[in-house]
Amino acid sequence: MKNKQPLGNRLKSYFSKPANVICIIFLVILLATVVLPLLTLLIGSFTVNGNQEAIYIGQGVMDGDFTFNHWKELLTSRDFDYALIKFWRPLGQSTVMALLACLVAVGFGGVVAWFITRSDLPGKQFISTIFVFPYIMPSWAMAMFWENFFKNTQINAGAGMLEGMTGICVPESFVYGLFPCAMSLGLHYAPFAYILIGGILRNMDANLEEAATVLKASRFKILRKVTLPIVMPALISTVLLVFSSSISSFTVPFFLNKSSISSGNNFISISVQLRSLINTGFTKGQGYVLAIILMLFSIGILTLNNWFTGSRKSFTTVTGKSGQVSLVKLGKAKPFVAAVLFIIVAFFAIMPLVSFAMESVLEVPGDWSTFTLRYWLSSEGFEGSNKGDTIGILRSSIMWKALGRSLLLSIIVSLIAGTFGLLIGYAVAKKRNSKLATFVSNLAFFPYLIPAMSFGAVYLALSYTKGFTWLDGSFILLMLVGSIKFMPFASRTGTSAMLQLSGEIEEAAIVIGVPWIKRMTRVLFPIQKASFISGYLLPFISCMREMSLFVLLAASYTTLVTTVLQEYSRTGLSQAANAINLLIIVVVLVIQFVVNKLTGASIDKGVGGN
Amino acid sequence: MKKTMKKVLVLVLVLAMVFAMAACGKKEEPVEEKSAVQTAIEAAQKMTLAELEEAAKKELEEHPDLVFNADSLTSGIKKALAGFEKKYEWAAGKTAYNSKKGSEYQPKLIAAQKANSYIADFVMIQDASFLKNAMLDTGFLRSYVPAGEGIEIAAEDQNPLVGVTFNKVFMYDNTTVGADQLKNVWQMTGVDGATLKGVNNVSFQNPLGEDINMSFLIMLTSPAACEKLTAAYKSYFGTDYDGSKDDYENIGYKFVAEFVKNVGHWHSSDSSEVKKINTYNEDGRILFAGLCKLKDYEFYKKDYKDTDMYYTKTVTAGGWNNDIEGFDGFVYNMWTLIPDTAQLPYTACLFINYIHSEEGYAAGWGGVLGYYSSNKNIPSVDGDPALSVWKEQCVVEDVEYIDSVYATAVKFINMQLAGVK
Repeated sequence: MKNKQPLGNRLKSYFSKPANVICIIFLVILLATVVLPLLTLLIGSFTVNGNQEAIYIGQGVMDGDFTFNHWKELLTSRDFDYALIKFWRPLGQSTVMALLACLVAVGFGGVVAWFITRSDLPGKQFISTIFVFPYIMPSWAMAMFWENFFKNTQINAGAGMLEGMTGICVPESFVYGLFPCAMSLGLHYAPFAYILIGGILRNMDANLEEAATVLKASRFKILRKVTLPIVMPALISTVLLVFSSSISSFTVPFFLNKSSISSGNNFISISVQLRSLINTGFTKGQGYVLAIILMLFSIGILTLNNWFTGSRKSFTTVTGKSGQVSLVKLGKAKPFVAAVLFIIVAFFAIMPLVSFAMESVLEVPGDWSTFTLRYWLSSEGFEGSNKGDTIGILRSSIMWKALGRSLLLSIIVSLIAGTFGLLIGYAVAKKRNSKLATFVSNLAFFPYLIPAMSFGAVYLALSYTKGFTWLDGSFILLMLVGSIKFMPFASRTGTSAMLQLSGEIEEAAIVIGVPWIKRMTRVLFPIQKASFISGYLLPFISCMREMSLFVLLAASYTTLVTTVLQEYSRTGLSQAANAINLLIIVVVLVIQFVVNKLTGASIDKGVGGN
Repeated sequence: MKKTMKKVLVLVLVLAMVFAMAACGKKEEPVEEKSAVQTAIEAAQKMTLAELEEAAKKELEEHPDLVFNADSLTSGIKKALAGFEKKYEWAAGKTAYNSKKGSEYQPKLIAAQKANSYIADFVMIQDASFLKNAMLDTGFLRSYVPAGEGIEIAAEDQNPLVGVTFNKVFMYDNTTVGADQLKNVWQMTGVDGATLKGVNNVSFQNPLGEDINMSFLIMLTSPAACEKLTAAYKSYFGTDYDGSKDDYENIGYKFVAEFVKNVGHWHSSDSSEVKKINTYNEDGRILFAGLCKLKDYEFYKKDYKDTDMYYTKTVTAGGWNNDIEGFDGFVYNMWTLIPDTAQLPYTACLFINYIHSEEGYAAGWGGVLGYYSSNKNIPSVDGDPALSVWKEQCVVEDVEYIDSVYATAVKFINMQLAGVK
């Protein structure tokens, strides 16, 4: 007969392990903050959402009635080929676009990460610093730059930079449509791949590769059998994040879809369809269906990710025993590789910034005779165009207050999300085969898969519910929503970093009686500091440039810098909008610099910038 | 027999009692209780302007902790609030403008309506169908009809109360392209007519991202638009339209299909596109955008920005045509309403009165073409036809029609956007 311990003892033993306590606490937090929006989406996909939807469905249905109509209509309707046009075709094309974006991001980011961390490339610090710029910018900035560079008179889009410099006119499919969308998104997310993959490569124990070399393995074999398996969790995480972000990106496909329909180059992405469905009162439920299906897609990749990290394969790369990294010598190719990398990286990282700066000081785009600094400095209202009392952004108290609020919000959000991510990462690594830990880890990733507008809408409804009205428009609400929405970045980086750590390190500390808090702060955190700091900086950057998530929730007294930017953009003051964009990037860079000076870590240094 | 009679009597009595009880228990038709805002609006409706001013002043004084919140997607309200504060000094510093984009504001309004919570004291919104089905039918937004000297609102604009009317028209670079290029709407299908040539350079904002453009396309299938299209068809092709020769439900669907297929350029923002009109001489492009956006066209800013001529030069550099056979564009409204949960309803009524007065309208939208007050006594700016003329020459938004055909029309439009034949 099995000798069972009393329940009290078993509970005591269970809760004596920090990983178990973390799992339980986050299970409760995430059930309340993540499952609620998920359920709302699910319920919304099976109910009539408002009177307009009832009119659309007909058949005497009323607001709030149960219905299968949204699913049936979107997935199967042959009326005017509706399902094919609204769902199946955009889904197929958008999947191709997202996969292509993943390829560009992982390929470009991964290659740069390898050169920075594993080779003796000169100018690493500079390349590493500027490589993260495209990620700090909003994704449409890259799309705007792409169009400005490649557009040409042969496709009636005006002369772009390339045509101006060389006279070369690229075909329309290179400027508008699926391909440029994938390229813009891939280039935007390449720094993300660089941060995640580079973090792993930098911390990888060189002994592993050296052992393979001693055993006479070829370079290709070492890459295939040693390096790639080690970076696989980071690679899959990158693919997961880039795929989910790309397929749900609205601004890039909307901006780069300008071709005529007869050209055959017109591309309507699934995210554009999603936005049009959700924003129209008649088809909100169909929008929820689409959002759920997109989530199912990402869940598929998440499962793949779990299969890699949850199976018996071990990815421990940091043993604490060796910090040596042997760099591959590039030899004669060194200056050539450095020059090529420098040109490519500088082109995509710096040129968009230059174009922002230029757009902010020209009254008429492209016409230098209309140079002005008034959108930055004027203390008088912008006369002549009836725009109201808008003044130069550096003199606008509204803008400064909004910027201050955004900064405060981003710092708090990054601290909360980063710490949560780190703790979840710890629990997952400690309880790798536990179903509870896997569940919590997956749940922590879900906010990433829920469209920002829907996520915001759920919390908006909550803030109007009795007992929660104090949340309406409050800073606390923005903090809560931001922390949950951006937690996936931190939990992914936290998990990747923790999985790399050998259990022996913590066990050694346990043996000599070091308490858990001390083990975390004095042992584990310092070893993987670079990766963990990334886990804090990524939510910070994302929060600073986020618009869709907060647009429903911010009140006039909690205006953020991105909502001010949107207001300028909406009223046609693109110069001021560009100036704010540039300002956001500069502020983020300054913060990164300060973090670097204070902690010795930064996003790019986390990869190996020095 | 007696027993039977007794039983019948008992039964009758019991039934009588049941009916009597049921009758007693029968609830009277529920009388809908009026909200505080409804009561205030009804009272305001009977007040003179002086009385309304007094009531609003008292209301603000009684609630020193409250601010009059005005939510709107047009910055005209921001400027009007500044004028309002100037006129009524007791309101100075006690108003707030909240800029709200339609599609982002609608979830907020729905959430407030469902929870019957406070959202603002005044709202200005567009999208006729949303307004009717989600806001008016649920009784969440209410109309106060301004009255007084110089204010005259047409009956059809009173409930819901129209604040400002807008139009989207076909614009071009007037310095090089000129009005002659577009004379009949059927040119925009790309097909040559009997005497006129088709054009294939129209720039149109994607209706999947711009609701107003979707409403415009839907309205093109309406009986009123079909009538205009039929007449223009005959003039353009020299023959009557024969519906039996194609599969379209009506001539409107045919026009939508051919127009969408022939759009040469899909832009992502009217505001940004208007600024580029000076580059349109490359391909003679025709831009479908809000006429009021011409104020953002900065081609002449360099030379004229400090002169009185700036505005005139600007709006003449970018031109539009008022003589297109078929229609000149699309007319739609923005409504000025009071939420049922407003905390300062008298101030809201006074503000609505103000923006419909000549002074208030001038503060918010004055001097700019493409804005039209619902106050019939306020004319459009010089050089801009009266609203009644625009309504006659344009396709006009009609909520009843949009509701009735939405599912079919939008599916059809989606099919055209996808390029499926």
